[in-house]
Amino acid sequence: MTSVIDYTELFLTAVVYTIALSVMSIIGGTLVGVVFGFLSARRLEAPHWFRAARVFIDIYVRIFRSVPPLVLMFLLYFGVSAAMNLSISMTAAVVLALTLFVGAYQSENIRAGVESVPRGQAEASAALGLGIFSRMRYVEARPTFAVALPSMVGQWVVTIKDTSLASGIGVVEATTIALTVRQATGETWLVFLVLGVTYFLINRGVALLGSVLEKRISRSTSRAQSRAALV
Amino acid sequence: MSEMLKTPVVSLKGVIKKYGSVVAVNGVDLEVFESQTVAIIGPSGSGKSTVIRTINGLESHDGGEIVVNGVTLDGSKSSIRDVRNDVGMVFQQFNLFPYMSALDNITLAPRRRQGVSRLDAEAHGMELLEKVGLKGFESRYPSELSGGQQQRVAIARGLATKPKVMLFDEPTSALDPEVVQDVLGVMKDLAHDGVTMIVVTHELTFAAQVANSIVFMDAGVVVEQGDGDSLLRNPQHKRTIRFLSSLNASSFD
Amino acid sequence: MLDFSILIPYFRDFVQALGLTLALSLSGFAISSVLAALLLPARMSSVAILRRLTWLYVEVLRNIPVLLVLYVVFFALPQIGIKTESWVAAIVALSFNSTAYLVEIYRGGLNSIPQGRYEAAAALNLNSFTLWTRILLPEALRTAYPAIGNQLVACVLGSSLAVLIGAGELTGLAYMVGASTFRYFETFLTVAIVYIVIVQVINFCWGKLGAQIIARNTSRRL
Repeated sequence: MTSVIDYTELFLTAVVYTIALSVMSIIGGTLVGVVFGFLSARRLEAPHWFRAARVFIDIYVRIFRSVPPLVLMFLLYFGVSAAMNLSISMTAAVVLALTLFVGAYQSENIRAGVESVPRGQAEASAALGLGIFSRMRYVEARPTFAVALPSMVGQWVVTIKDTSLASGIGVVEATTIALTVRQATGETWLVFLVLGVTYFLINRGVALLGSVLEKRISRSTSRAQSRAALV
Repeated sequence: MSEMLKTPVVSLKGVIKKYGSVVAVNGVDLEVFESQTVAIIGPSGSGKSTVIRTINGLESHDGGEIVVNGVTLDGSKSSIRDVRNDVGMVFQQFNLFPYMSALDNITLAPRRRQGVSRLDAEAHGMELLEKVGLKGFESRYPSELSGGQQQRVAIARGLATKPKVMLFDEPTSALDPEVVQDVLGVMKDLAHDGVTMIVVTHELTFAAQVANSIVFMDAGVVVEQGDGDSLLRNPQHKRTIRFLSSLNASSFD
Repeated sequence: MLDFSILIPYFRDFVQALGLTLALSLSGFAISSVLAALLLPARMSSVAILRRLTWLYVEVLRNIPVLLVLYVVFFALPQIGIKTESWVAAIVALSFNSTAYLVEIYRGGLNSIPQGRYEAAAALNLNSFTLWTRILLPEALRTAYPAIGNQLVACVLGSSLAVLIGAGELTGLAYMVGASTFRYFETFLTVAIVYIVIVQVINFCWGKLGAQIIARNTSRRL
């Protein structure tokens, strides 16, 4: 049997790959969430086609919150290539599956944030003649993210943890390599401890980043509020 | 006055309350006799809410003596429990229990704490609801009531345990102007019925009409105390004059 | 091109696998509901060591993948003499994971209760039994109810991981059927639809149950 130390480099490479998968999936899920969340929020003075968009987004959210991401990965990686005769890379399958899954949850987070914006803001925007997109950008965005950011960061952590499912279709990321090393060395506890600490540190790092972002956003919104209170 | 011969229902002697190094209440004396209504007025931060919150032990006091209906609040659990049995309280924010009907809010303490049967508690509760002008509202939930109605339910809840004294902590400050009179009207009726009350309020007209005694507090001390006419019409102390003139423009007369 | 009829011979297997999926997720959820309630007093305790230990448990379990917890239970625990079947390992891992989330959900429900409620109860001289049973728990349950339902759904989705230690629940069966028929798309799509249906049914029932609980002594409007 070989020693665990011999696998350090291999494991580090795999961790980098886990991080890469995570970054891509987090970007994907967040983008889907922001676009769908802002389009599907119930609000006053919105264009009519938003209602059609909401029906579509509601269906999307319902479906993709209900399918285990592992099943999505199997479906995309084994299923789509078998049925459509096109080959989809493992990485693409994982990122797409996590984007669709996490995107559904992020949509709900963002939507709740938009809907928490007081209705007077919509009326004021309409009275000022702001279009819906400038309203999103200048009126809704800041309070929405102030409200939604904590749960969004929560979903980023979920995304990172769920990249471990990529081991199910054989992507060479941290969990896969950990299993390989375990078999090669028999050091089950040690290998899992290292793997656990790795995920823990990455996720705590993301949570830390999230709380820095939260502070920034809440500082700027509260400053705006206290200024408004002084007037 | 004959009241002077009796022992007071509530008696405070040199009560002190500190928050860290900040002295919120600095040696307050107060005596309230049966059937009296005492109004406490003063600017915000004067310690008036803190004083009435010490009377039922919601705030512990750091010095002085508080005696309610013969029980001395000594910080022990039993003294706090005994005192609270004799004291009803109405809060600025109503603090009704949101997932209970108006009647359940009122009957909860009599049934759970005083062992009153459901039937008796509900009969008494219905009487109280009628008294506060909310007959027929017994199965409404707080979310289905206006602020003024919620506060009247809260008054009925406070009365339900048949307390010796009722504390009102700015009972109308969170209300819309048009319903303030509904609540004050109920409180006036209680005063006429001889309920002993201590009311922290900004409603000087109410204080003038209803209170036997008005206490003006500022910076944690009682600056001046007197009956309605003398204190409001003829204040002696500079701070009282300044406070009253700041309010005169808006609420008093 | 697509041919779902190849799945027909496996119908009975799918029903069995569905049963296993439900058994795994429901028992994981039930066990974690109880464990979380037991841990909650420690998590909110004034005794620092209890609070820190439960905090550590929650933080660790929420920051490592369930899959790793599953592997620890299935591969590592046998080394210290605790051997389990794959389905037991799945329930244990799901329960450990879900407990961490539920503790925080319960705690959030209690923390959302405004201070004024405690003051009113104190002024009314309610004892702590009445305070908890009549005021705090009913209100906390209502606040936390939707999040608890989401956790139940998370248990259903999480049970799919059992395929990776060889359990024959829905995902595991789909994997086997796909491998032997090479009809991966049809099998995984079917299973995905079954999960969607399960989750919709759970959401529906959870909503109905919630309405029942709330209607029993709450506002008609809620």
